[in-house]
Amino acid sequence: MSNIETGIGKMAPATELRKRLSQNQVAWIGLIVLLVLLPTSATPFHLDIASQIFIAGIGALALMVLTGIAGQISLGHSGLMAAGAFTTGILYKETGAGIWITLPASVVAGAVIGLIFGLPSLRLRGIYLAMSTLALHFLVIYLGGEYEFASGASTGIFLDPPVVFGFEIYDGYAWYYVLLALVAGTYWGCRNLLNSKTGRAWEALHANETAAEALGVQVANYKLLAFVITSGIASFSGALFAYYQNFVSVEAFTLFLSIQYIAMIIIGGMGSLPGALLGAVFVTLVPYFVEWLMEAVPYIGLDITTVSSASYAAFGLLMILFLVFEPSGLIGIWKRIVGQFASPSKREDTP
Amino acid sequence: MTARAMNFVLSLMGGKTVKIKQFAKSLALSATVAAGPALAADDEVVIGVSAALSGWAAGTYAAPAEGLKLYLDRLNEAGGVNGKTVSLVIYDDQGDASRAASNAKRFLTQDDVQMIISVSTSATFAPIISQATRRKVPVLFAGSVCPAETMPPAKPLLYCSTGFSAVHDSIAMVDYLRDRESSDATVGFSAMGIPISRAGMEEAERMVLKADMKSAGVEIAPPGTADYTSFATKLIQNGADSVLSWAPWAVQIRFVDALRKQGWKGNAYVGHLAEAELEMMKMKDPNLFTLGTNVMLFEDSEATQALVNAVKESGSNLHPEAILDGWVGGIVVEGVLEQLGEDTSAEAINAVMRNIEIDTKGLRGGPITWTDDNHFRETIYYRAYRWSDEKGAMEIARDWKAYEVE
Amino acid sequence: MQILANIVVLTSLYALVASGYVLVYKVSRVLNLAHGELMILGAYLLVATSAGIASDPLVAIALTAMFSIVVGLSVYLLLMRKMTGQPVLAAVLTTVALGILLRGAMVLIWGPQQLNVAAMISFDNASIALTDSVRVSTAALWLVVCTFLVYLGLLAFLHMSRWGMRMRASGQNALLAAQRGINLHTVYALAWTLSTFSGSLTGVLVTLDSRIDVNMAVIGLKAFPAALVGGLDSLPGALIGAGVIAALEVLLIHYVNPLLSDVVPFLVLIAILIVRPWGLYGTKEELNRV
Repeated sequence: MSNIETGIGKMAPATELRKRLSQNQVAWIGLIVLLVLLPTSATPFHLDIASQIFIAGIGALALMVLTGIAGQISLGHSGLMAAGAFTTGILYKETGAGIWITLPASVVAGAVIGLIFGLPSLRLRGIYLAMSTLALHFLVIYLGGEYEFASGASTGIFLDPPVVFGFEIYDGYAWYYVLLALVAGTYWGCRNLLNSKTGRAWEALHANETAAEALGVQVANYKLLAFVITSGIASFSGALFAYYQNFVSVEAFTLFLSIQYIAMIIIGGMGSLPGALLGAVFVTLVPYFVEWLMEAVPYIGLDITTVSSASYAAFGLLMILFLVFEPSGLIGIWKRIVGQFASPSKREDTP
Repeated sequence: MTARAMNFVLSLMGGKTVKIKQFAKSLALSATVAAGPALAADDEVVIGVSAALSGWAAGTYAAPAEGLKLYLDRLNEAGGVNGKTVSLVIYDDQGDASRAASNAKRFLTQDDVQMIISVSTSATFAPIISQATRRKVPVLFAGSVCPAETMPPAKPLLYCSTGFSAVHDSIAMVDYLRDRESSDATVGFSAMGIPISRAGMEEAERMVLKADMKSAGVEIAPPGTADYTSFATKLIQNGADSVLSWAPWAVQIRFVDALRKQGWKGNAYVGHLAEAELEMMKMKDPNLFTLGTNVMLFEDSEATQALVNAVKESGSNLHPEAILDGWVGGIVVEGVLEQLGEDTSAEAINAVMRNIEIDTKGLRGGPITWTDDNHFRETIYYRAYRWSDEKGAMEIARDWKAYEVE
Repeated sequence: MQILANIVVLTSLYALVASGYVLVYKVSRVLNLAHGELMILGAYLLVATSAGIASDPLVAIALTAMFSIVVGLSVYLLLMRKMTGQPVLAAVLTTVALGILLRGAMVLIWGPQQLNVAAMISFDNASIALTDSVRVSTAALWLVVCTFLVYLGLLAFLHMSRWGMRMRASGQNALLAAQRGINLHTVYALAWTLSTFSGSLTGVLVTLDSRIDVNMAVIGLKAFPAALVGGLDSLPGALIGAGVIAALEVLLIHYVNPLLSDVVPFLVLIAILIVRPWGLYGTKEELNRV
């Protein structure tokens, strides 16, 4: 690196490349390369888990923007995913529509419902707002259940794999890459959103609404915008879920699911987009990790039922440990670790 | 919110006892199972089982899952069927659709199963059916409520051996009720807000009205209701002389409780689910009737003795009744294996299942018969049970009656 | 008239549950989402005491009461105390996690099946005729009586005793109260203990009237609208809120559509909150930190 610091004359291509990239960007590129290469050594089961993580990641990003950045607490995430999944399912079942219609429709449906979810936020704060989003979650679920009952699809709606440009997305590898691209795209989009005027407005109204209003930020509009955009993304993830699992049923969208997403953003680290992804990884993997742990440790008297019950309790315990001992979440731990390795001259190598 | 936990009353009062023997056996079996994707030998049939072993539904489904495993373990120990043994791959789905979806994918892409068995909630059906149908692997629902897709006209690859079914239980209940009640009686109905229960009770109401009796209405309680008092009040105020209920046991029995708490003394008819015998012995209510396809243990027949002994030998503290549907599932698997030739592929297994008659060894009223069109059973047999004050024990209120399944 | 009786009983249930929420919130601004599970824990403690230690119902119930106090204290000292100073959402999420942990633990210890506790302690839940056409169960009557007594006791305690005053002061302005020498931790511990005690009492009464399994914790969720409508930091508000929600639920079941009895209370809650964002009797607040 000292070549660059003295920086006279023409530099070799490699060093020129290194010069243009900061440490941070190198890390990101490394991660992307790793993820692209991962499937070569993964079992179908691993690919399935990874795909689930990607879908969860999209949803977690949405919730992070809404709650972590814009500060609007929402317990209705599961309902929004259900909205997206059901829009897709109903359109497919009633009209046989292809993915090019169902996905945008799901996003729009999500955005509209998001607008409705967001209206109470104009009057309510904190716990009261959270409760109103909870109410709307129940409403969406009720409507979904009524549709299932009325249409006779009491087991659920079955979906064929989506066909894009004549290519059917069904195989584990196909989904892996598609979802990887989508979650990367969502991350990029959210990052840009946060760096824009809208993002700054959200941060302002999160910090202090009155001050923001006084500074000219149209608080009401931006609040609703937060709900609309993030709900659209959440519905999008719900639609992806429906296509990935090839089914839609109201029982898949429980209150516990909403709580899991909230856990993702808190465990990941509030206010941090990478944190949302870390949280998604963590929360998705925990049940498998705990089951593995319990099976690896021989314990006299445990039958399969007990082992499985324990993973539920363990999830609660892990959440508590994180909340109590690591309030800045996984991203906080990450930053601490990275901080250990920081070189003295940690300036960005930009010309 | 879905409080569909079914009633499984045990003498369990403070914790589980040490079950060394059972643990050793399950350890042995899991070791063979955990050895990774099995290259199934020609004489081994790999079956994936997705069961609600934990979570809110475990009260209903964990026991039948154990029953299935118990039966098949013993079958393997006895050398299998025609030299073929069963390798069970059991994953917990917690009664949750997403977990079931993962399990299904794992069975089909990694574990190379030749059959899938579901012992879980109806929430898990959609993902399993979707994946299995796509890969043409048969699915047996043993202990889970039978999905409509297994009844005529049956969809391919889906089969059900479970003893209870909303619609058919209702048919039998209404039939029995008509025998017992006066012809101008008013009947009330109680359901839970899940599609299966609602469908069953609304069908029952139609049948009652067709028989020129009166209805006090169908009370549908949302899943997650904790207090059934108001629902019961409504039926009482509508003049119900007797009440019919089909829902998870916990819901059914709380509804009957709510009726009795308000001093209502009419006859109540409920579906026969695993917890029925024990609970009814505790409640000692002579006006509570249950109609079901499974025998009860108090009958102490040869078949039930075999079951009780098996449970005792395994050292498990599960109640034998609770495992019955899983045990019958094991009998079904055995029956399928008996008819299987050299080819143990999924298609061969499905071909056998499409046309088969399986002897239920005295645990049901008759054999389970599957045809191209009917993957439920051709004839279903019902018995009525109640508590008898005179005998101070449970009794058979009406013996086996056959109903044709259309 | 029976409908009215049903409403009164349901109101008592929701009011008793809501009192737990209000106590903790009023004093420490934390919404204890584990209250439903703590309630059920009380019922399971009764199972444990009646099975293991004493078969006499009164002794069993008394022991359960004692244990519940220990549980309440422990929850505060071991967990919630560490969350003071954290953002509200984190503290609330901690209670959610606690609820999950408790639920898993209860299933591990007592199994997932439904238990008939009344039979275990030989409690005869007979039907009592109040008038010709109105009947309630014994346990329901006890529930109404207990709710009345608990509310009387709590209101008296909060407004007439010294510690009660300290609790109210801490709730209104924690900083000022601390500066005046009020030990916040003691006050908070007291709030949690009382809340858990009232929750356990509710659990015991519910289970004697019905049966118990972990899913009954959903009562905690159903009582939410009641606590919120009245204002999360007002005890009288909770009573009124409980009445409103209970009446709504029962009337919906009887005259409209039972399936809506789940959703509509929440929708009504939103409607009321739009008009009065802090509930009918709640105090306006700038909430951010615990």
